[in-house]
Amino acid sequence: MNKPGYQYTMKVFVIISLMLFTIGTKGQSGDYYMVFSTSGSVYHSINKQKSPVQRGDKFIKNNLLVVDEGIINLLDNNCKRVTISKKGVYSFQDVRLLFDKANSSLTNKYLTLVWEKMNESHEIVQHKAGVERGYVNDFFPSDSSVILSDTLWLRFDNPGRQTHNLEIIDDSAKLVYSEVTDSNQVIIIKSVCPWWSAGYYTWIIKSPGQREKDIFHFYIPDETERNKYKNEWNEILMLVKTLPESERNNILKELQDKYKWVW
Amino acid sequence: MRKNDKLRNNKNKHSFRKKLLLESFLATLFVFLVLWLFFITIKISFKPFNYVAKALKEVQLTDMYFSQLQSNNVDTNIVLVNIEDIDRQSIAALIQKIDSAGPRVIGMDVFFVDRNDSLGDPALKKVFNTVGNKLVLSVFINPETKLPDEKYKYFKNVIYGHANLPNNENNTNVIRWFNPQIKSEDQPIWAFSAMIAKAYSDTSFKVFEKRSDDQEQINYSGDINSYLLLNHDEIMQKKNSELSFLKGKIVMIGYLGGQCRTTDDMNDKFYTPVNPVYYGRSLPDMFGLVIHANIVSMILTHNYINAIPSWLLFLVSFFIIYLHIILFSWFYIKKSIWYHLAAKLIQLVTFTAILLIVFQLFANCHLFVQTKYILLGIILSADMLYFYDALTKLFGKIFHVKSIFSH
Repeated sequence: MNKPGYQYTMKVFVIISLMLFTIGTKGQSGDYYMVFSTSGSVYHSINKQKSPVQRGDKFIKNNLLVVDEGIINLLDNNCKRVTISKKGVYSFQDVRLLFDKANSSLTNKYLTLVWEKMNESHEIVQHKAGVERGYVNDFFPSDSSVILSDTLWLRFDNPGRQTHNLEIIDDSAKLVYSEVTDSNQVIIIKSVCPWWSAGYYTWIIKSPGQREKDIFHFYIPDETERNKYKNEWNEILMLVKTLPESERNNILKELQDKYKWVW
Repeated sequence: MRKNDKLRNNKNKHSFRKKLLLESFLATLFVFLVLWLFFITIKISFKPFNYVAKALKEVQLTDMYFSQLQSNNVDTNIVLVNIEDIDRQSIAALIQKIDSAGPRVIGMDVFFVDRNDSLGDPALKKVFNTVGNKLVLSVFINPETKLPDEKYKYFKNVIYGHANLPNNENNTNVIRWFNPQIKSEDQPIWAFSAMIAKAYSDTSFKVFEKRSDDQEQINYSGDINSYLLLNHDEIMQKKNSELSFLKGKIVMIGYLGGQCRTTDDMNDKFYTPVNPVYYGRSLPDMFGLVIHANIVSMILTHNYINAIPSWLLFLVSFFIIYLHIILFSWFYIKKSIWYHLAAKLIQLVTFTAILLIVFQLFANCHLFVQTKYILLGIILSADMLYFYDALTKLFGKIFHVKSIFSH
């Protein structure tokens, strides 16, 4: 049966929906991003080799970008900018997503903002009302962590950027990795790491001229165990999917702290 | 019989529609009267409680645009150089080094007050002479005399531009405007940023000059990340050949924090609409030099903000509020149970739509539409209908006139 009124309403609805939710410039990014400016500790990680990022560098596929205490501005081929200042390891895909978000149309950005503001919850966050003196421990991952990621990111205290020695020993007390570094982190990627296999490991940080050393442990599970954890994690993710973002993040963080899973 | 009923019904409907339109018009006038009284009352009676007026005055929804929605562009024509806390002699060496790379303009947002450095001052004078017309210096204009303070006049034969920014005595206002020129008895003193734009592109400056507004709204391109930022020591450590990227650019030198990009340093820092926290309390977000750079970008790209005329704003506001009142009145009379829910939903939808249109106009046509009167009118109109209803009943009794609200 012909229902012109219904068809007309549907047509109007579809057109309005398209107008409101069209993402203008999605999917236009190229094969690389250019570093416009950078400051602080920001590194490239290419095939296990880590090097400081410099202005004019290209960030290409398969590279990782490690942002520690720093900030980086990347440009796409339309001279649009994305600023990354949040600590973390960013893949090319992560950066592409940031560009997609930044380059979306004004309508899309605005409606997203309206939605976020409508769902904004005002949490009370505890802030430090004092100053710190002395050595503040900042080691990652915490002792006895379970490494489920394909990247091992070891972070340690090195405020003065002094030369430190990092050693990794397997459970048969064999030295499998050693690096002298003046950074405060080391990234090891599974695909290019010859010693990466299931087992318990100890990582040791020695600072020059000091007897004390910091010793931590981590565990790499085999594929079966890893898949089991992965499935459990996916189930948890499904369960918390509908929760508000802040609540979801808190729960996930608590679970990660509890099980010491490092993704 | 049935035909007569139908005719009577149609007649009633027609008469209701006419009355609805007429009374909605009267209610709109009433809302505008209340709005007017509202602003007068705030101006007079809330004067001792200045924060109420200030809060209303400070609200500009374009801040939401600059802060959250603006396109993430960069301006590669301008390079910023941070001088941190270096002395005059080091600044002289820095200018010399930058000049050797061949920039088109060098802007110095540094006030050199009096002669006070036996080594640095001659070095500065020498380098100012070498750089010549390429250099623009900033100067503070005394607001009373409208002239640069005498103490700034030690370095002569240099192009000056004023670096005054309109603010309150506590330096807590949001910097949305600047004075293109300050008119003194001798000749107008153009803004520092305008002089830089003039030295870079005379055509762009002429367009700016023609606007000749007393105040110009700043169309911010972005924060400090929109510009290439270098520290003075980076420049000094580089070989001349490594500075070739400065050729033909505008290099703006000034203070951008003791340590670049920290939020702790409040020296020469201001509140701007780009601040990520666009309402409530926050820290100042932008160094003076970056504000000047934004103005230069605006002049060179001709991206000026134009306000729509007041009469047009009034007409548009009246029309939009009138449409709302027609809708609210219909619900008020015909579906009174749903009135509040419908009014709130209508307000939410139209607020969202109006702001989207305003932001699109701002982003694409650089047209600034003052929204607070429209939005406040829409908020007030839903509640003012109760007041209007009471008034119609009162006047109905006195003048024996029946309103559609009297049911």
